[in-house]
Amino acid sequence: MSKITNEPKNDEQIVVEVRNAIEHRATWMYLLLDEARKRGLDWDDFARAAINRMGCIHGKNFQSMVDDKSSLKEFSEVFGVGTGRKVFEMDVLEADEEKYYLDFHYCPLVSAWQKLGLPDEEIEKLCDIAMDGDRGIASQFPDYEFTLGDTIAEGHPACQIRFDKKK
Amino acid sequence: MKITNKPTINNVCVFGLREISGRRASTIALMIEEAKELGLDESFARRAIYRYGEFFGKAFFEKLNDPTDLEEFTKYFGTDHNRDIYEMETVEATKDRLHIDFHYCPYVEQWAKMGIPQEEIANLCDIAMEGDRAIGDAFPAFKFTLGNTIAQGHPVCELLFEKVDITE
Repeated sequence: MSKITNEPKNDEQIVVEVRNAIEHRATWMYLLLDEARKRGLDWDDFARAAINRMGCIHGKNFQSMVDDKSSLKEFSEVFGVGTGRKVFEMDVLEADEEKYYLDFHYCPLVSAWQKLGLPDEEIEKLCDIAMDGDRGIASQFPDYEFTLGDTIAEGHPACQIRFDKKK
Repeated sequence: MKITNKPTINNVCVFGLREISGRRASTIALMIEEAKELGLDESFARRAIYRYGEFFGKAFFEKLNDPTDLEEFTKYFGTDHNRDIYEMETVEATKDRLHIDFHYCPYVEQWAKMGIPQEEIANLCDIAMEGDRAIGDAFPAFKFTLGNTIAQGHPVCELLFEKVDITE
């Protein structure tokens, strides 16, 4: 039996539609990885680099949305806001110049991988690869340290996304 | 021909969904590039996207009361949120032909933003369309044809489904 619990609470139409689109992206990602693996490629060798580069591209977009990229407070006003906050059912625990802490209570990517019938260990691995996108985003903001704590994919109730201002 | 790809429908929902499509576009382009550096050609991606289309084709086939009825197919194909994302226009819808034009493509937009050359964008588009080919293949009573595409520099992507005789 799966150790993962991942139940959505918000069912607004726009949230459901965005979740569906993210699920499609997660399905697509898994199939690309699966076909590459069948042909002998190790996920760590190619997928991480690709997803990290994608994150860097989106990190640059976030950079363009803030005036001062060293301000964690400004970053907290553009990252994890709007519909995305509802899609991942995010709770904001801290949002100031020192800390930006988010808990994600639902993950549509995990949901897609569960629907494909993948084992927990593989979902955990896929989650960590997908999070290379967030690591890529964070790499464009050298004044903050990004830490991924517990995750839903590991069987925890929430994903802990943490940004700390570097001392 | 140079690519022209300008959206005219802009609202919060469509914008959010297009952004996700853009991420999907960058993911596939970068995965193909990284795999190529390790000596793997694009066939893995074609197969992956085809499998993706097979899931939807099968579910779609099972949803229809009569999967040989093109008019019933027309009621569902391209009628959801994708209609606004791709700015679809139904050019012809009869019992024998369904012709839909896509006036905008968020994938092409993302690939262009990444600075990918046009010939490569056309190839990436062709890989992405494996999904639609798989959906077409799930319906033996219809023949799917991808005509001109935005990625090739045409003003629209032309998707055509035609009824074929499967009784013989």
